Amino acid sequence: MKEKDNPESKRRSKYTIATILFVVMIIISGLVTLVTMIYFRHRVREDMNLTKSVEGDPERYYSLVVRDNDDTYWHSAYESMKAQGELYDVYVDMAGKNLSVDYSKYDLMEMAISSKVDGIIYEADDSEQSLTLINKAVAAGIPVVTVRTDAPASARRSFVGVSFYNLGMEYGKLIIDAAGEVIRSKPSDKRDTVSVLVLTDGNMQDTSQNVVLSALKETVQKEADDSYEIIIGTAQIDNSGEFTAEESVRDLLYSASLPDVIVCLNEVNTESVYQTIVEMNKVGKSIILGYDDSDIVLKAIEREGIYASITVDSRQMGQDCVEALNEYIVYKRVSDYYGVDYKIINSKNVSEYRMSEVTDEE
Amino acid sequence: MKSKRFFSNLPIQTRLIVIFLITTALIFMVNVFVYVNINGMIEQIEAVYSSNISLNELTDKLTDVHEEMARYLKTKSTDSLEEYYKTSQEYRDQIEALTISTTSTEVRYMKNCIVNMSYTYLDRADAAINAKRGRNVSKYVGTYDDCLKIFDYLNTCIYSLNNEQFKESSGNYAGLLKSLKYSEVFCLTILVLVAVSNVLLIILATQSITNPLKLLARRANEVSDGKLEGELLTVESEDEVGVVTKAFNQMVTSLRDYIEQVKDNALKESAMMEKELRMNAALKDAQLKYLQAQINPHFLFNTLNAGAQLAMLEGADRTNTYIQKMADFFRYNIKKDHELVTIADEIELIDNYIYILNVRFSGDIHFEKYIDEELTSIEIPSMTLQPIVENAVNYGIRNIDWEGLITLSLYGEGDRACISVKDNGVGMPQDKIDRILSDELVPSEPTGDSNGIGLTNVISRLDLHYNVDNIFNIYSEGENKGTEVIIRVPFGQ
Repeated sequence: MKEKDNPESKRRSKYTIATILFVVMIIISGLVTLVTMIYFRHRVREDMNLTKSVEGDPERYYSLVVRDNDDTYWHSAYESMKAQGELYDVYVDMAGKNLSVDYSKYDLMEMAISSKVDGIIYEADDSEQSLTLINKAVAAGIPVVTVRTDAPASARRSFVGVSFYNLGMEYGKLIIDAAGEVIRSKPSDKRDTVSVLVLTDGNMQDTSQNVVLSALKETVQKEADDSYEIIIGTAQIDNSGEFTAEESVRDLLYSASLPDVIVCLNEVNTESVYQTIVEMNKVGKSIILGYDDSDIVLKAIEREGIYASITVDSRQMGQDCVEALNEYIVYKRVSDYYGVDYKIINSKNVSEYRMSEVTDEE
Repeated sequence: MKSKRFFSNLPIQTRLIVIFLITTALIFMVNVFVYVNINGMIEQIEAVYSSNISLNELTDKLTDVHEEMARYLKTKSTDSLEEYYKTSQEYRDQIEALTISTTSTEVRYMKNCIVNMSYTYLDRADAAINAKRGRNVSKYVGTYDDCLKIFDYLNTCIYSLNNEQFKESSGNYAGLLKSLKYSEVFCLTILVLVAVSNVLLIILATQSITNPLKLLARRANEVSDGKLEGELLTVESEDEVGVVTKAFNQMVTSLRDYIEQVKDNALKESAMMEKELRMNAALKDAQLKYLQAQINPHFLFNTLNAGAQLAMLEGADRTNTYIQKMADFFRYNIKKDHELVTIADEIELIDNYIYILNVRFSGDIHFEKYIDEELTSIEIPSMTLQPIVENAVNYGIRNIDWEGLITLSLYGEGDRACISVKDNGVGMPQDKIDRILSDELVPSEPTGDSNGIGLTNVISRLDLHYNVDNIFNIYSEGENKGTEVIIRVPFGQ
């Protein structure tokens, strides 16, 4: 049996190619398997939110206890607190946000105390209960910083908020401006009085509103033009229930003749009043002075449905709260009062304000 | 390469089993790999869900602790106190062991709250129990209220945490479902890849079996078509196909040898046949020579010449002429050293023969010639016409009552020269003609009147010489109607 060299070597090379092909195929399959498996695992972890590196527990937990969790005002404040907290490895929790039961702020305060958080930011009031809870917390070694509204008699370590006297003065000035507008638009024989209705929050149990009101009245008295009389009336808007504020505002505005100027001291009232006026088709008949910078309010200012709104810099407020607690925990002492700026938004500066909001958020 | 050779040397069955095992193992490995990975992922998910379960257990235990405390405060029974200590310790252990796998700080905060709140609760509960034991009624009632509140908070917190966890898990579940979809695609891709490589492997392996078989079949077809030449098949492997290939090669070699042998034999046989033919021809030649030798009249001629001279000396002119003619007749035989003579020579012989016969039979035979002189130079075998004429005389006109006539004609007919010898004698029946022509009539012993050359001899000599059809024919129209013999000689022969 002679074996010719040529076909034999050809066959051999064919076999070599085939074997190499097969081995390459197997290697490719193996690699594909490996790569897809790795990719797959990665995908699964990503889809299941497991890829985020799990940092250790933050150094401290602070709890923010406020009366109304849903208030947009508190949302922006809370966001800035969280951001500020992250700088110091502090987690700030908005108490009750994730709970299935709607607890009162006192219950939430109790919970925060029994949870042994490292600090509490509390929207205080003048009630005995607040006082007791603040003192209980401090006694348990948890520093308390009151925010927006104060409880000066308590053992709270600091207060972060606007000066209500200044706020009242600012409202007074706005009322005088608005009254001027009213007088200009009225026929000359009826230019003697301007009626102002201040809507207060019926559930605010501290003195802050009273301070605002008295400062407001004082400013109007001092600085108003003598050629006409500004009559300031107040109305309490029941804010106890979930939806009662809007109802009471409606009742109030429908039942009596519209005042020339309506002053709202909180966000809900501002929005309710504006909405009711729009529904009554009386835009422009009453000048609305609002509070806060919610989107609805800003839009209303743009449409000149609201004359002006005073807003507290909630971001700064949030930052200050965290700073105050940090300072106290680290140095065991802290300034008694952190003043927060406020701004007046009107149709002239509203777009500018919006721009600054956007850039701030970035 | 060695392994390949080793592989192709394995028996086909073993090879098929090896292929099957390899492919199965590949698929199996892929499956195992995929399942291990999926299991790993499911474990991760389980870890997430397990925290939900531990939270539920926590609630149950907390309720137990609370109930036992309340019972003790109500009844102050030692059983409930023991039960309280037991459950509270268990609850403490559970709290310490509580782990929640999450990435959300919010959830971890909640867990932290629950842990701390639990400790607060247990402290308060211990305080209440101690106050009860110390019979401090106002204290334990107040503390119990605290406990109740914290119990409520705790339950809410655990429930809410459970909810949060469930929300997260639901998200994870959706992710898992999505992932399973990917895994389907991945697994399918991998399986397809492995299947393709398996098919490749199988094609490769079976080709090592079928290719030699195909080659073998092709070669077998070639062999069956008679193509025995060409190289033998290469034996690639030592398996069954290799064995068959070897056997086939052996067969082809044997066939080749055998055919060689057969060819050799055939060659030898044909050589022998040729020899035999030559011998036959020689025999015929010898016979012919013998026949001619029989009528070789050297001796007669010489003696006749002597007789003629004697007759001349005695002045017997007629005898002289007669003997002279006879001498010429016999000289003809001597003259023809070569076997071919011209028709003219043959005619001259006939003239002499007739003269002799007429002397002998007192001029009974009339002889007429119609000769185309142009054809007389054609050569024919010698001693062709004389036996025919002799035949015509002896059997045709010998015993007839009327005057015998023999006519000799030479004429062209196409590409043949026809020599006709016709008598007006008794004629010849057809069956006799047939027998003469088919060489069945055995020449009778030469009679005294014959020179010994019969018709059969003439026919066979003409056949041998010309080897063409229709060279010799006998015609007779019936009894007493005479006989005609025609020889058709091709020109140039």
